[in-house]
Amino acid sequence: MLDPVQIVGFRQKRCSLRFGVGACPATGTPKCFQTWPTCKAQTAFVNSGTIEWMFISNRPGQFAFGDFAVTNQIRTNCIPVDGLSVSTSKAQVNAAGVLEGKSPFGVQATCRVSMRDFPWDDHVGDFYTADRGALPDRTFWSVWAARNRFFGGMELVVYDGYAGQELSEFRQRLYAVDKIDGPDGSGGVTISGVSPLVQAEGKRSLFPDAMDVRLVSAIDDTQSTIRVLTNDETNLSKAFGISTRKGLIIGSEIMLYSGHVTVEPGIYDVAVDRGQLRSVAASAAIDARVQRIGYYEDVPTWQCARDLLQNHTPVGAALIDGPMWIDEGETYLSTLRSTAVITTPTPVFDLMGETCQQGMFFVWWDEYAAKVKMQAIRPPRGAVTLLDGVSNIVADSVRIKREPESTLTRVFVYYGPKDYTKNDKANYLVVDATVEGENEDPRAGGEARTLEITARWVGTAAHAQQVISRILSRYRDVPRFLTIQVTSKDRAITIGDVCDVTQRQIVDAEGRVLSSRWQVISWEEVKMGEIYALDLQTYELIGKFASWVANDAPDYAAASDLQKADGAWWADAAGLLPDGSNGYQWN
Amino acid sequence: MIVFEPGFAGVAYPLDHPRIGAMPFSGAVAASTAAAGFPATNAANANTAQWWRPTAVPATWTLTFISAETSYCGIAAHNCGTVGATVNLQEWTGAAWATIATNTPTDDSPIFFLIRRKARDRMRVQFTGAIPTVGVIYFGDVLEFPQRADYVGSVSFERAVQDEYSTPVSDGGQWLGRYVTRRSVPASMKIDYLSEAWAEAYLTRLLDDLKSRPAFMADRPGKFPKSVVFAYTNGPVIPERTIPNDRLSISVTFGVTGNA
Repeated sequence: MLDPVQIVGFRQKRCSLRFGVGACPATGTPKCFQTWPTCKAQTAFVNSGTIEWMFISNRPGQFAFGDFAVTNQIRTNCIPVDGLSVSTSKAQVNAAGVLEGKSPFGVQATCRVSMRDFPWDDHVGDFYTADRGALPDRTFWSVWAARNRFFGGMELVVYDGYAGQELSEFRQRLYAVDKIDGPDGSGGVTISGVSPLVQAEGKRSLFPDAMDVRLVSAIDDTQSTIRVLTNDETNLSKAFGISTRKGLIIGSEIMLYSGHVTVEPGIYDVAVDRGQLRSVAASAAIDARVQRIGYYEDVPTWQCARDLLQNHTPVGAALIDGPMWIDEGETYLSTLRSTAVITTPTPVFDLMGETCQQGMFFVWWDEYAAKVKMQAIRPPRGAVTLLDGVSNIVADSVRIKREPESTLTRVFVYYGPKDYTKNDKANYLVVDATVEGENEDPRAGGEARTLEITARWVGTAAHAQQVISRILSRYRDVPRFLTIQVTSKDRAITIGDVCDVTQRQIVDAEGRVLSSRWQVISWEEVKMGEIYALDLQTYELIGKFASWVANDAPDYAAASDLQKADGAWWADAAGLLPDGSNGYQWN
Repeated sequence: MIVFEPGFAGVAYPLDHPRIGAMPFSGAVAASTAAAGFPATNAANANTAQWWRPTAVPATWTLTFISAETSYCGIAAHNCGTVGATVNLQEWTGAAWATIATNTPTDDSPIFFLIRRKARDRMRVQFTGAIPTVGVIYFGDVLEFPQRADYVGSVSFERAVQDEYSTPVSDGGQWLGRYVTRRSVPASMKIDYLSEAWAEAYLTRLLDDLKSRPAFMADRPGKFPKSVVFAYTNGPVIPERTIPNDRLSISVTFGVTGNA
């Protein structure tokens, strides 16, 4: 019997100095609480300490998971609170970036933690309790709110485990703290957390940065050195994209440059090549606005996405699962390359949606790994998870939904822009398309359903055709969505996993139960530590798919299951492998 | 587990009468060692989520207090059973510490030492065998009730654990496991036939203390030594006059919830 335990960790940074000691010149009273608003010497504030407040529902048992070994990186023991609840809105990936009404970048997860405020005596977390004298009765969140004003860099960690486990055995979900409300009149406090990918949304993260750079003097259409004024030199030095040279735009003219020279602080000379990237050199007036452009120069599209997230949002490299991105990218996406120019500050969220759709991958925040992951639109890799109604699927949990509005019979990809400052269909020189006439037949679907993609990240016909074929392979039939619930033994199944589902509601025309292939696009914890809901989407890549194996790979009969799953061997004349199974398909 | 000092048969009443260990002494706390973040003072209050943890065994936790009649020691929110620690209750002889009761618990339920009542100004608990983590250590003067607790309808406290379960089955009707969805340790003890004089002398002070903090409660320590909780009252405990005779008119029911 499993006894689920859920613990909420709330991490915040704070000063690692001690009041009035060493590098801290603070004096007076009251002494600080290591936080910015309570600091009496903010110029000396060193934001390298951390404390993780741990909360658990009132329940029997000892949860002494505190870690005090490093005095400036404390994790408290679990503090029992009333009314602790954790609710999440699930993330959902948008495989191939096609689902109606959803960003190609998918739906981002949020987490909401509620609890009651509780009496607090500062027995942990305050280095100066002995110096404060008698303090009034107080509650944790009311004094916390008085001691903290900003939420930047705070994290919410939800630990899921079972009684008897060590904390290290608990699964952890990580969210960025968005805001904290309360305590209200009844003592209620709510902490809202979001996927770090939310930080790429809206105007929080623009690419390239919006900047204040101006021409110091007017230029004609031949001048090869321009003098600019800016209060931030990084506006000129920072890389926006992956290219051999940096770019900027004045009016509608794009210029490329390699470096700049400081004339005096705030004024810089830039040696430029005029009228680059399909633009025309033109004169410009004094004080004309200068804007850096984003420029990716023949780079794999997935690398463009990684650069956008890593270098142009608060997500940063530490939260990106680098090895996974490289493995997926180099294995499945190496031929999809982009030369893209972004001439106006654009939300990174929008650009990520474009790269996902045109680069044929999807990206999601894996709360448990605390990493941003990426997976190509590709055949399953390795063994496929088997789920059935006898051993895995909880009774009465199956829901099947069809989404005819997402069906596609025609996909048009417009690429090859005439002018990088525009992104409408008329601006593109080439259009590639595929029409699934069979499904448009009045005796079949009876209507044309069209997706048009203005594809600034697509540069070749081969790239366009891959985008078209992979989208149509998933959406030529009405996409079906399956929701099932499983228990904790199957809780490792996560986004991107491919499952073969055998369930009595899914049958062939004659009523025989079918094993059908699905891909997990979102998950949700329904009952803490017990029941998990999986949303799956039909997955049309069925069969054995393989890649070239190493020269010293064994024969099929001697190969391991993993090698058989990933590699390929020639079948015999009858199309069968030595063990009688069907041969690999050439895709 | 209720542990008796060898030879102890009760102070004023037999061991099948209920006991409540409340109103713990306060005083100076000293411990042999304490891990960072687990100071000895954490065990000197009723908070079951603040712990003392020594760094080595044998480990001792000592309370020095103004001399008072002392007849119990309660230990709760500990993991001695899990880690395999032995607990020795020690008193000061004037020259050395002497063990007066010993227990090696097999679980982490509260330990309630009942000892000879006498004036003491310090007491000590020694832990051996394994490093424990201990949330609550009470020393005080136990309240013995002059009547036994109601027997019929009562539940031995260690069996009062009320779990709620969830048992999902698969679509094909197979058992997919069982999960605990809620845990609590509610306990109840009813005592009748208390006199007005006794209630006035002892009960009022006890009930005042129970408003603010949990206590150790045992319904029939001699007969059911596992029947002990460290628990807080669910609400105000209100003695009732149920019989028109002031020598036995008072009934009182302690409804409590234990978390430790």
